[in-house]
Amino acid sequence: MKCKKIRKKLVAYLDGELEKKQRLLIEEHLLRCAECKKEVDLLSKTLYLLKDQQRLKPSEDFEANLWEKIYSKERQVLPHFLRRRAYLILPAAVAAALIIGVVIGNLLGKVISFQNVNLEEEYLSSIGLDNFQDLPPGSLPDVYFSLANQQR
Amino acid sequence: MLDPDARLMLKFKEGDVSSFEKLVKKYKENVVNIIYQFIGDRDEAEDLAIEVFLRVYQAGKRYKAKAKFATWLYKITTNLCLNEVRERTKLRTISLSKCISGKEGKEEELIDEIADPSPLPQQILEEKEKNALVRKTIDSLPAKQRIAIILRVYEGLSYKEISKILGCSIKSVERRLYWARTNLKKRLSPYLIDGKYDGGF
Repeated sequence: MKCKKIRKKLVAYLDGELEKKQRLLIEEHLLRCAECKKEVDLLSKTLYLLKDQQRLKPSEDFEANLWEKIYSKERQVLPHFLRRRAYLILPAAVAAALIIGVVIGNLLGKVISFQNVNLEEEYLSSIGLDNFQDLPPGSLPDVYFSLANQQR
Repeated sequence: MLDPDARLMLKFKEGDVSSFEKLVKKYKENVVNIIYQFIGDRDEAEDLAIEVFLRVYQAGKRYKAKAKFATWLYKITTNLCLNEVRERTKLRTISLSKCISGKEGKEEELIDEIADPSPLPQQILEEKEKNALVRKTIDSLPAKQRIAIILRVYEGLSYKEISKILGCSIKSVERRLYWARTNLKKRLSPYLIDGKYDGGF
């Protein structure tokens, strides 16, 4: 491999991101090329210099500030009168849904039973129970017996 | 298999706030440092880190454990950093154009700002100033190179993990890191040759 190609791979080589075959090729090249060896040394030192940078410790009130921000965001989405009682919203919503469900169920039950009563009456009148009497009104035996009774 | 932190996040999704607190405790330092290395301001880094965890909190109900929790968290962090840079660039463009249109003889100020009159690396040899130089050198990198090198050097993430966070290919990560380290080496080379880091590789 030529130096130009090798140099493009040196960072990945230092980061341990090359496959074994490429790694071995680079190691072999570095043994006999002083310029590339110098380049890899400089890149490596750059890395140490970066790693030597100061690492910050988050302040002690980091969590407190975070929660304050979370609460303030939650308050923003609620109406004013609910802001102080946000914890009551879920139970209140469940209770309201239950009450509404019971009321609607009750009303529906009444409407259905009322409709059933009407249907029953309609059915009874349509089948006409008078038709099942011994002498149905208007029938031939009914006319005969009514005439016979009149003659007596 | 689900990573333990993703499991904590799922517990938080079911209402266990203490799981969220555990995640904050574990990752706050990493998140603050990624942002600090990216923008170079301690107070702002902490404010933005709080914003990151606020987003995690708000996303809790929609969370799906598709990737490692850390990958997801760092994705939120890097997106926030890149947005911040975009906002700053916008503001900088506005203030520069205001300065140009101001006609109040502030040309010298403008030239100073563009020319960046900070001393050359050769002149900064004091230990106290070394960090400032490294900081300035990191800041001078393009945003995409900067975030890639921060995730690699300070968080020790693999190229594959970085590619997932940045939403690009592993090859692209390799290229960004190559250019980032080459640029840093160029700017820091006088210090590298004379400084304490000449022990060799």
